[in-house]
Amino acid sequence: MTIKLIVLLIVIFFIVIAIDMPYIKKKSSKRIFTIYFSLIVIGFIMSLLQIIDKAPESPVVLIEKIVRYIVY
Amino acid sequence: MVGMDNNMFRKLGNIFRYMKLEKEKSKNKKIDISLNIDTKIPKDINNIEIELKKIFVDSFDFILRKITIGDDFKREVIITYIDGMINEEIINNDVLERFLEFDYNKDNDEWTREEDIIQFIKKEIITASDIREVKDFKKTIESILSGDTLMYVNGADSALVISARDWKERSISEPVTESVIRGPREGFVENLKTNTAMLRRKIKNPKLKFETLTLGVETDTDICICYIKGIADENIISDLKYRLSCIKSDSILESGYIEQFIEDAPFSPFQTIGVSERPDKVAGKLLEGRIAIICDGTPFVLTLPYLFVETLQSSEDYYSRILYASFNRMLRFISFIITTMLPALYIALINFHTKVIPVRLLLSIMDSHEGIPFDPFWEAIFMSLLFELLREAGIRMPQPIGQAISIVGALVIGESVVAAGLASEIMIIIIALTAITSFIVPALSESLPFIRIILMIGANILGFMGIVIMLAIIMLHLSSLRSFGVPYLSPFSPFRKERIEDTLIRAPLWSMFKSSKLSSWKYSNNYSDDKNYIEKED
Amino acid sequence: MLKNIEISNKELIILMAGFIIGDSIIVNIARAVKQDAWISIIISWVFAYVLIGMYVYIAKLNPNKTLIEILIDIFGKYIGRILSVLYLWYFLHLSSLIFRSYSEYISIVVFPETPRIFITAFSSVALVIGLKYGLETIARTSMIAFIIPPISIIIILLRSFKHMDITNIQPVLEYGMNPILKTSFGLLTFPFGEAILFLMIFTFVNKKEKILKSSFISITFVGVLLIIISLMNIMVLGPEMINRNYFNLHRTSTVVPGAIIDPFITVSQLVLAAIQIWICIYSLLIGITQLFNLNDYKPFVIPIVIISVSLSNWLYNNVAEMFRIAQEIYPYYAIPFQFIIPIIILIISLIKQKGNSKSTST
Repeated sequence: MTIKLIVLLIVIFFIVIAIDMPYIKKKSSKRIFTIYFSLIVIGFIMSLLQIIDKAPESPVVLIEKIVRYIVY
Repeated sequence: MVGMDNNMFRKLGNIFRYMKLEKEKSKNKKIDISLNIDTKIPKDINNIEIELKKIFVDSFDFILRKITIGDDFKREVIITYIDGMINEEIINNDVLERFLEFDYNKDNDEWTREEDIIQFIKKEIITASDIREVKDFKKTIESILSGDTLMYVNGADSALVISARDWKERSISEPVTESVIRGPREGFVENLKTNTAMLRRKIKNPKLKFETLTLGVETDTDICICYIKGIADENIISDLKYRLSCIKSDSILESGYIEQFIEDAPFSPFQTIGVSERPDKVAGKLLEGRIAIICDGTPFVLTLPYLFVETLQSSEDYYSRILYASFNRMLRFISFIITTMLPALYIALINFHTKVIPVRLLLSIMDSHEGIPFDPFWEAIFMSLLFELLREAGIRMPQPIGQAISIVGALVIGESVVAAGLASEIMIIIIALTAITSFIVPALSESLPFIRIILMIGANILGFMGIVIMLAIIMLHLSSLRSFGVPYLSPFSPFRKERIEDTLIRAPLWSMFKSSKLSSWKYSNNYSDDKNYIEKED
Repeated sequence: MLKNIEISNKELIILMAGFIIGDSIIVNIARAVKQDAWISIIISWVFAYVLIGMYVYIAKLNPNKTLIEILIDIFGKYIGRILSVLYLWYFLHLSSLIFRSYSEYISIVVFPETPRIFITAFSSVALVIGLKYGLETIARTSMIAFIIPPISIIIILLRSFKHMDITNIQPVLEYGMNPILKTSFGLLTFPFGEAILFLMIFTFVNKKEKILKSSFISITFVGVLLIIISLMNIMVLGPEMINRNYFNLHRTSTVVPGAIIDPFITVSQLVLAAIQIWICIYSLLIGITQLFNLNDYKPFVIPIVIISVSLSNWLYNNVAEMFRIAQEIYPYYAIPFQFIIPIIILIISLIKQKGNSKSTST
């Protein structure tokens, strides 16, 4: 089941990159390129970690700790 | 074995090299399509004859007649025309006969002066009404090809163009594609002049302007832009002229060619340029500030800008009374909704939301669905495909067989499909309803199959939610569309409550203000957001 | 920098109204005070005028500048950029929250057997297409689509009239003012305080003088709608059910025998959530382009949406946690973003403006 999902994830990312390729090639700016790919990589890692259930605690837990510390 | 492999690879390599060469060859091979004609008319009549014969070699319908006029001072004159395109009576009576009857001995001095010979002939001899002087040899060739008669005089530096066109064409009859119950029964024909005359008769106003130009390198088709100066938006006119000037095509055979070159969103299922065959409809649109493009050779006239609400309007609405017209408009809108959403709703209800349907109906649906091997989705796609095949066949087949095919299609195929267990009766009813309602909105017939398929796919993926999401996508696409700068969903979307009176209902004519509907269009050249605006190069 | 994007004031009203209502029908914090929920809504509604008026005033003091530009302007390059990144995180977090609550709602109520991530992913396709088309298209589509929520609420109202029991409102103020005030503070942050996002959108409105009036019209509309929904829920369901149930409006609509009202709420929920997510992600994209001095945001649409969807799945483990955090933690978490930093911006802008007028007068 997880393998199917991982393959699906990789396929989706390829489709996304294929859709956006003409846009980015037209812009031809290094900055856009780097930001775009860093965002893609972040998204990919986040989804991958969630699929294989190795995701760390969500940031909400951190926020909750901070709020509880300050308020209570 | 190794040798064979080498051979195959070598062959493949050769094939690739050959394809590359071919591409380069065709790039370098510039086909010279321009006639190498110098622009000045040769002075000597024999040279003119040689040139003309060289250009029109192998054309049997090119007639060249050389006559000598004058008694003492003889001048040679060539008259040329294309057989079949001229009115021979005018040429015989008003041109040739005049030359023979004219008394050349009266005023000898005017007759001999070379520069004035053309003016003299034009003023004194020929009695045909439409005569022009042309100094450009290439233009004379174009005039011959358009059906005019050319007269070249020996020694003169200009030629006379006599417009005596007459050819057989279709008479004005009821337009085939748009018929109404009440309204004029004349439609455009294939001749540009007749069409412009029809429009002129409807709008007797000197502000109605017709500007002509020719498009198409090989075909030199005459195009005419019409608008009413003062009502039409100047920005749109200049935008249109710019787009027309960018067209570099070999041939323009129909207005559809022009439409595809200048339209805003070629990949959208919705058309942004309207088409009509009726002069009263086009005249109405001109009076609202739109621009019409008439193309020689086709009765279909383009109107732009074209908004979504126009697909729900018909010229008959304005000839009927208020209640009935409003009722018809609502009916059209409801049929539009039915024809796009009915199959999708059915699929969604059956697959996902069965608890919405009342129990008895559900039982009978399930009953009719028994034994069908397909998903409702594939069933619907199959039946839609069948319907599209029947429709297309109905257009193409000759008249006598037409009746038989419709009976065959409707009864036999329908019945057999159900009896064979390929589709359920409910599906037949749904597809039949869809088909009937799709004929009520003929203007949208090009877009409907796509909307239907998208909604069906959405219904299959996620039921009702899927339909809503696909509707959202369609709505987004419609909102982003612009027709020559005017938002496609006006007057709904940039909301102008003055213009709502003419959309889903038809307000009384005496309350609709005709002046300056320009204010309802927020024209802007601002295409920053729109993905669909592509700069057309050719 | 960015090409001329313009929305009219009417579109601003609808975008703001849709955005503020957004999720609050699903994640209804006012449940905690049971039958006095409508009182806390009224109190937070009144204060919302002040809060949003403050935001509009900030926009007036710094004309033609979005929030990110104001931050960099006022706090300098380094602190301004850090604060901008924090705000961008806030926008992203908000959009994932809405994704999560919306797909939880659909997943529980409409499609119990479909995996929730699939619903999120499928809905995000429509959102991506809207974002790729741009703000004008979003505004125009929202204008047309925004007819649906009020009409569905009115339909439910009319149909559930005879099921309403006005004694359900009593006893009024049973638990005293304290819980009511606490909840109304929570209500002020979610939904009303989220209008801080609109500081990114105000620069695109074509007639800037009318922004204050448009905002007030939106808030009025939102307040009236929320009060009607709240009262309707209380009167039909009763105080205990309000507190225990998660999706009150849906429960109200199912009370009426006749199952056709259900899809209306689902569709209005989609419309409202879509408007809210669009504005959130659009602000996020504009913020990125301004932070990195780029020209266009279009390339980043799909990656950001993927991150948002992925984050939405990651945030909570189940529905109960989502509601608990919205009730207890979110108001405090939003304080710096919605109150503290804007007030500082306001004060510094006022000082700057006084300084400017002094220097121009002398």
